[in-house]
Amino acid sequence: MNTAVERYYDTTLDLYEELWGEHVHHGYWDEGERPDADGADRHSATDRLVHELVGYAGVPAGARVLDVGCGIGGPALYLSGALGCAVVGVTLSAQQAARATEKAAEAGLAERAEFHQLDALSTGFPDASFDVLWAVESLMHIADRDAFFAEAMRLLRPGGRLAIATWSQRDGELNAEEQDLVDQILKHQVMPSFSSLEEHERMAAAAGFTEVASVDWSRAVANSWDPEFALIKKPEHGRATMVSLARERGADVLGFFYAGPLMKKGFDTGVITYGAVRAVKPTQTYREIVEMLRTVLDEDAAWSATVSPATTLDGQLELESVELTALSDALRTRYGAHVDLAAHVAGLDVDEIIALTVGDLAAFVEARAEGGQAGGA
Amino acid sequence: MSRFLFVSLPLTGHVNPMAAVAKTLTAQGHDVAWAGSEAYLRPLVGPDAAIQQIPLRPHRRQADRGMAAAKTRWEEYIVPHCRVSLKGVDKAVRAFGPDVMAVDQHAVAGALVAHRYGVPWASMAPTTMELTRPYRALPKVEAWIQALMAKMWSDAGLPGEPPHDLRFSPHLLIAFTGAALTGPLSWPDNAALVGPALAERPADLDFPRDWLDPGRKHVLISMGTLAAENSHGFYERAVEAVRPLGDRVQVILTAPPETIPDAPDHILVRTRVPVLELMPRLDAVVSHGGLNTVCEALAHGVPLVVAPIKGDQPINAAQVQAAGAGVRVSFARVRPEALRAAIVTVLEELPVRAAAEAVRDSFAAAGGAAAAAEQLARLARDGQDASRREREGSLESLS
Repeated sequence: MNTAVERYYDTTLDLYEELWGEHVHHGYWDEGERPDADGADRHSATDRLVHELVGYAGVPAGARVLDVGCGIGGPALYLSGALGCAVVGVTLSAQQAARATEKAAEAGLAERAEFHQLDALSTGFPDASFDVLWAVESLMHIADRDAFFAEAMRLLRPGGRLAIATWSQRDGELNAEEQDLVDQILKHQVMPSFSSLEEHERMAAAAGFTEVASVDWSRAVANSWDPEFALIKKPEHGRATMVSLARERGADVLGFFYAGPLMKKGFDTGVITYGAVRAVKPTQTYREIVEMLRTVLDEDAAWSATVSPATTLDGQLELESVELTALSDALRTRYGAHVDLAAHVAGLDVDEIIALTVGDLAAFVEARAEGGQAGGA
Repeated sequence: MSRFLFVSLPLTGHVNPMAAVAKTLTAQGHDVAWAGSEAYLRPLVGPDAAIQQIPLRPHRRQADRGMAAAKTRWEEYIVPHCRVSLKGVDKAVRAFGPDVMAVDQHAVAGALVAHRYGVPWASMAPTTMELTRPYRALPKVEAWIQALMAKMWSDAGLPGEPPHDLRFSPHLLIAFTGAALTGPLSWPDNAALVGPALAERPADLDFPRDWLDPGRKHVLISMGTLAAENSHGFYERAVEAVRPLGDRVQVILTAPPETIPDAPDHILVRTRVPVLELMPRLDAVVSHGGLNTVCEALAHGVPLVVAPIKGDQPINAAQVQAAGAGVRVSFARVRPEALRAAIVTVLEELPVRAAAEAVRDSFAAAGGAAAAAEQLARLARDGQDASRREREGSLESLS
C-alpha cells in the first residue's frame, strides 16, 4: 500500500470536494470553449470527461466495472447510475472509500456501486471478474505500470476493455528544465513518475492487450488549470490559512495548492500531456487464430504482437491463397468441419475480401463454433 | 497469305511472347500489324513492324497485392484501357482489314471490336492469370468481373449481353505455357498450349561475360521491376541468403546497383541482364514468378525458387512447385536461412533438375511461337474458307 498517496488523499479530501465537487479529475472542453468565470460550469466539464472516456473506450451499459482510483465516486456514480453498470471502486484512501460509499447510498445506488480501500495491484479479486477496468487519473500514482497492465489483463474477462484517462508527459527525452518542472509536479502531487501516452500503449501491448490506442486530450483539459476554474488560490494569498492547514494536516497538503501554476506551465509548454488509453483483452479464439496464422506464415513469436484485430488479411498480412487454404484446414482441424473458412470467403465479394480482418476471422470462428454446438444439441 | 492484327497491352511481359509470334508470321510472308502505343511497342516489336498508333499512357498502380491488386487490375487498368483504346482499335481494324485478330485476354477492346466487325479472333494468354480461373472458388468475385465485362460490352454500343466470357474467344485460345507446368486443367476445347514463345533479343554488349567463373554454379535473381518501397527488404534478405555461398556460387542480381551498395564479390548487380543469353549457363533462377521468366528458365531446364508477389505469380509458383521443378517461398516473409536452403535445394537436388528438364522437353514439343503462328494461320484459312463458302452459297442460291 502506498502510504504517501493514501495520506495525500485523506488530507485533501474535503478541499477537493469543496472546490471541485465529486469529480476529482480534469474537465473536458471543446476547442475555444472557456470555463465560466464564476466556475458554475466546471461540473459539466468534468462530467464531460467521463462521457468522453466512456465513448472512447467503448464502455458498454450494464458492464461489471472495476474503478481503479475511484476517488469519492464521481465517475462510479455515473457509470452505475446513468449507464447501469455494476461498479467496484478501489482507492488507497479509506476516507475517500467511506465518502464514496456515503454518496452512493444518498444517490440510491448502494446496490450497484461499492467502494473499498484496496491497492489496485493486490485487490484479490478472481481472474476475469470484470468487463471493464476503468482508471481515471490514478495510473500516475502507480510506480509499476507494467504490473498494472498485467493485473488488468488478469482481472478482465476475454474481450473486456481497458478505459484509462491519465496525466502523462511528452514522449521522448526532456531537457533539464523540463525535467525539473516534471519533478516538482511529481513531488507535490505524490506521484512516482509520468509515462508518455505512447509508453502506455507500448506497455498495454506488451501485456497482451489488443486494439491498443491512445488519444491526446491535452488541449481539451488544459482549462482545468485556469486559475478561475481551479479555484485554488495562490499560497501567498492565504498564508495564514496555509500555515494552519499544514500544521493541522501535515506539509503534504500544500502540494494541492502548488499544483495549479505548475500544471498550467506544463500544459502551456507541452511538457505535461493528458490523454486517454483504450485496449481490449483478446479472446481465447482470437489468440488461437493469431497463433495459427503465425504457424501458417512461418513467423516468429515477436510477430504476434504486431497483429491486431484490425489487421487485414489481404492488404497487410498479404495472405496468399495457399496460405488461406492452410489456415482454413487448421481451423477445421481445431474447431470442427462446420468452421469452413474457405466456404465463408467464397461467399464474399471483392471489397469484403479486401476488408477482411483478423478480428473478423475470430468473430466468424466464434459464431460458427457456437452455432455448431447449438446445432449439435 | 493473311492479315493479322495484334492487340496487346503496354506491359512488356504481355507483349514479348506475342511479338515472337508476330515475327514468325511476318517471316512466313503474312501481313502483321499492331494496334497500340508506338512509343511503347516499338522497342519490343522491332523496327520493321507495322503499328496502328493508339496514343496510350502506360500506367499502373503497383503498390497493391492480393485481392486489392485484382481490384485495381480490373477497375484501374483493364476497364480504363478498354475505354481509352476502343476507338483506336476500331480505327485500326477498319484501316488494316485483318483476317484474324490476336487479342490479349486483358485487352478487352480487341474482343469488342472483333465482335463488332465479325472478325475471327484468338485470345492470347501471356499470363496464367485467367487460365486457371483462380476465382472459380469465389463466385462473387467472378460475378463482379463478368459484370465489368458486360458493362464494357454495353458501353461499346454492342447489343444485349456478351455472348460469352470476353477473355475466352470462341475461335481459339493460345496459352504460352504447357501441360507439364500447369498440370491437368479443364481447358476450353479450342485451347492450344504452345509453351513459351521466345524471341531473340538484342545482345547486351556491356555485360561482363568474363566475370562468370566456370568453376562455380550460377544463380540469377530477377524480381522484375520492383519498386524499392514495395520490395519488403527482399533484396537485402536475398543478399544475406547467398552471402555464405561464394565458394561455390556466383549470383547475378537484377536491380539498380545503388539498391545493393555493399554486394560481396560473388554477386554481380546490374539493372539489366541478357536473361535469354545467360539461361544456358545458369543453374538456378530466383524469380517473382512472372510467366516469362518462369517459362524462359524452364525452357532451358533451369529450376527455380519462386517468391510470388501478385497477379498470376502465386499461380505460377504453385505450378512450379507442383511440377517439382522448383520451390515456392514467401516474398514478403522468407528469411535468409530459408531462402538459402531453397536455393541450395534447387541447385543440388537431382530430381528438381530432372523435373525442370522434363518441363523443358514438353515445352519444346509444344512448338512455341511457330505452333502459335500455325494456329493463327489455320484460323485465318478457316475464316477465308467459311466466307468463300458463304459467298459460293449465296451465288448458288441466286442461280
